[in-house]
Amino acid sequence: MTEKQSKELIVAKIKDGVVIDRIPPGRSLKVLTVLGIDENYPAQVSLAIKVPSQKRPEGLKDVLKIANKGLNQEELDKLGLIIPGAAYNIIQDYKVVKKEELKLPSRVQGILKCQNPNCVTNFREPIITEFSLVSEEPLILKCEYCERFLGEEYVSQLLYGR
Amino acid sequence: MQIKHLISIKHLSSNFVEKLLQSARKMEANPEAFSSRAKGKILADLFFEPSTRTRLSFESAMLRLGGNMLGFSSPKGTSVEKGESLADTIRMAHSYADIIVLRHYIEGAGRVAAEISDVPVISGGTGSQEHPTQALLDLYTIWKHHERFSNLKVAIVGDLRYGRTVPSLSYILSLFPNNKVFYCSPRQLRVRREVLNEIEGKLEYEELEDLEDILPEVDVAYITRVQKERFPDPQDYLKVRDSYVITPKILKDVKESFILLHPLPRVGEISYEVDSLPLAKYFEQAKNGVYVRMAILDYFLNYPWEA
Repeated sequence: MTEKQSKELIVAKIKDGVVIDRIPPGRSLKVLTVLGIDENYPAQVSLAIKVPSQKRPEGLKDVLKIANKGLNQEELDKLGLIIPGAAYNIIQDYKVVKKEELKLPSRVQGILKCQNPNCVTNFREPIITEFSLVSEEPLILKCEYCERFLGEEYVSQLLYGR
Repeated sequence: MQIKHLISIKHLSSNFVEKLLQSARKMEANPEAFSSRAKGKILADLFFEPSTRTRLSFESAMLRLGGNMLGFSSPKGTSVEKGESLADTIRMAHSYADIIVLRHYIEGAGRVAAEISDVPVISGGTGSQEHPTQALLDLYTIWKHHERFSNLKVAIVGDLRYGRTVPSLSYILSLFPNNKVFYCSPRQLRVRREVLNEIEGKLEYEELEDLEDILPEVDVAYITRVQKERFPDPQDYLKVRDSYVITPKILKDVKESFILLHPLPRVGEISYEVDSLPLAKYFEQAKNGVYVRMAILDYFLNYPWEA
């Protein structure tokens, strides 16, 4: 069975919404957490976990189709942090109107919280957090206020709580 | 180009640093010639954390330039104690003064103040992050004795993890070629990886625990106090408190031109017998702070030269 056939069998097409493809195998549930999609989401959500993939190094991928959903910049930044290299497609009337790869953002504003309790962003001040990318592998971000580093484990913890 | 605020050495160029220190030298040679440079100007010194030298030398510098000041040396008795934000405190201060010196225990406070203030903000030290004016006076003292900014071997000793002078001194040495730093500390107090990442490729360095091995080859030893107030666990502080104690005996094999510096206050890192040795320059270093801070205030109040 080809990859295309297997995808068609497992995950049905959606009329309008977003398809997130080439997700590292097993990580789609975390993507749902980050996007805040749970049992209360009012539209169709299709999920395929660990289906064959020729484009991922593991030979497997997850695919997620979420009807009636777009992605704003904050959501794109969050997804860029946890599933860089995955692709997203915006679907309108069954057609792909936009297709792009998710990239690690070079600057992240307002999403993450600095882990340094003595950082000014953790006090009651009229500012939003700002991090810059120091290294992709391993993932390291730098707080632009206190200049401390934030590693991958903290990014994951802050985004989906573990 | 004008530099608007001084909150990190990382924002400065070698050219700026050299010009500023040359200006400080002129002020040291003839301070009276500059006694009207800040006439009619007001300095707000906002010290959210205790300080002796930084605050007094900034005040002395402002008075020598003919200016005045207002401010507080502790948040006690101010609206800060009632929970006022730093942002609001700065909004108040920048309408009362022409320049602000801010010392804060919170890291990133300098950037917040600079974002809000319409008048120049000079960092007088923020948490363990940086202490840029200290690095300028440290380099000034080194320059006075060695007559150069480059080809220097400097041992930075003690609490390299929490000491805020350590990042700033590292960054300023990284602006000039062929400098090398020996970071001497107990394992728990090594330089933070953020600081090493910043100097990587710009400043040669070695990390070690034994100071005595390298003392004979360095031009400067810069001793720092173990920062008791920044240790989360007091037990950890007691374990490392007396890791390095400088005595005349330890210094017996140093170079003739060697100088010993300390940002002060010291608590036990340098024995009192060292004070009378000609190589002990830490009190002169503190005095130099006045001239360097005069040059800093003059630059940010008058922009007398091109950065």
